[in-house]
Amino acid sequence: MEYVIEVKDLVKEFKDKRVLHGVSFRVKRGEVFGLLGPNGAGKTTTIRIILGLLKPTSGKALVFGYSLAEHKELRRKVGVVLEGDGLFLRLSAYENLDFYAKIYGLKDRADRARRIREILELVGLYEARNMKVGYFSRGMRRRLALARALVHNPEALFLDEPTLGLDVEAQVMVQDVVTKLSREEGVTVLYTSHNLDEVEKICNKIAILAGGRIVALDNVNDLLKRPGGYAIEVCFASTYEAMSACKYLRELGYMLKYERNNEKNSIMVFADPSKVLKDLAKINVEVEEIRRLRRSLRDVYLELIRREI
Amino acid sequence: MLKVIIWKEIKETIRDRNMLSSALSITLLMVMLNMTALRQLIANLETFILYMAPCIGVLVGFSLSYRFTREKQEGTIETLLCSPLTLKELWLSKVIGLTIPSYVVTLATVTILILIRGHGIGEIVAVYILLVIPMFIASAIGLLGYLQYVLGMKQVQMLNYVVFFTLFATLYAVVRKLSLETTTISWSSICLALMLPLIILTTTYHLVARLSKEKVILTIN
Repeated sequence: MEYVIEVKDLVKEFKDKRVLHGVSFRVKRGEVFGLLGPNGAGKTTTIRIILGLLKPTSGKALVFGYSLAEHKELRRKVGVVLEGDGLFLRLSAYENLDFYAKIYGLKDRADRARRIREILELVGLYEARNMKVGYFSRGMRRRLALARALVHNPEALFLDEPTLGLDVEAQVMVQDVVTKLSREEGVTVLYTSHNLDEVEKICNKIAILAGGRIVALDNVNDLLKRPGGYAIEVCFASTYEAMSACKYLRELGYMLKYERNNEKNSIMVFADPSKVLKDLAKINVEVEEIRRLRRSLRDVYLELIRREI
Repeated sequence: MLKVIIWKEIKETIRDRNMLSSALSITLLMVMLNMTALRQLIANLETFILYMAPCIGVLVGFSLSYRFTREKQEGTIETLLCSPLTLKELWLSKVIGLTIPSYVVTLATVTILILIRGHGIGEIVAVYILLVIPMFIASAIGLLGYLQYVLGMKQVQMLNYVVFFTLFATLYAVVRKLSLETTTISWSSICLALMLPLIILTTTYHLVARLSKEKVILTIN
């Protein structure tokens, strides 16, 4: 089966309010799929429907070709880190993992002990294995939540903001673990995060949700070329010329950002450079320099979200 | 699977100092009551056990049933519902896991009272203690657990106040009753007493079986 996660025309209504308007996407085996969007965009609702926690009003969400709501045995193949860490504060880190390992069907005691040790070492918590989770810091709990999701060797991972509250070192550790799992073990990952640099770094494909609709769905590299395909910096000789150009281009409907630092007056425009130059020629402003910039996922994301708002 | 969760619940209860101290307080309160006021009120130990023991058990069970809500507050239930566990299995194992420590506390209290009084109990009372009281506790915990699953956090707070005051009103009524009459337990009264918790437990079990995960998830916040 090529696609591990398939979401088709997903609609969800709570009372009279529609929160998802026909969301569709597919995630291939071994792919790290980023689901992005501002708060309230419908990311968590989408994940909850896929995991079988909520019923869709219409449409379907399948994992390994079936609905997780109806096939409880399939849930053994899935690991989750949701908003809550899903940990028992009065139990130790080891006891928490042992509990979940048993729940997911790891029957042999020696196998469990070996796997727990392996996974605790991976997230750097082996030394704290006998400490009660109630005494753990926010970051340690999040790392243990990731270990909990991985303890039964899942084939698909659903990670809802797994790096929330982690320090930089731990964030890198989580990113490395996710990348390693997808590349070396073919684990499929659905990943949500507000850290766009992180998403750009680890995801192969991205869907951006806004107001319950997918406003962009593409490979990361292809997404960075949209919309308009370019991000350019245009430098002017004087502040006056820069301001005039800025005002004129805004009137023409360009999306741009004005920047002034020391001796440089420049504007950043998301458009085709030849078209911008042609338009600027009409108002006779002197362009000193024009160069193409590499757009970040943050730029694309903000553009798309602002357009939707 | 059930055994794993039951054992986890018991382990958590043992380590929960607040829960343990409230359970011990109830035991101590009962012992003190017996040594002071109730000594004059009742001559018959069987009457005391008949009315008071279920109240003690339900009171301890009530203090432990908060664990259903805590699982929602801490978001653990969402993770558990993503596992191969069903809501029914979760509820049932939690009911058993919380009934056992509540029953142990009740049994300890009753045993202490019997030892203080210095005389033994009959066969019927023993059956009542062993069979009816745990069923009473389980049905109360089961019903409270179900309500905590379906209600929002504010509604749960209201529910807790209502249950708390109802329990104290019941205790007051029981103490008054103890001062007025002496009751002897018969096999038929045991059967009748067993019917009520069985009906509650069976009904709640069916309600939980029909409960959707969505209802639980949407009442988390």
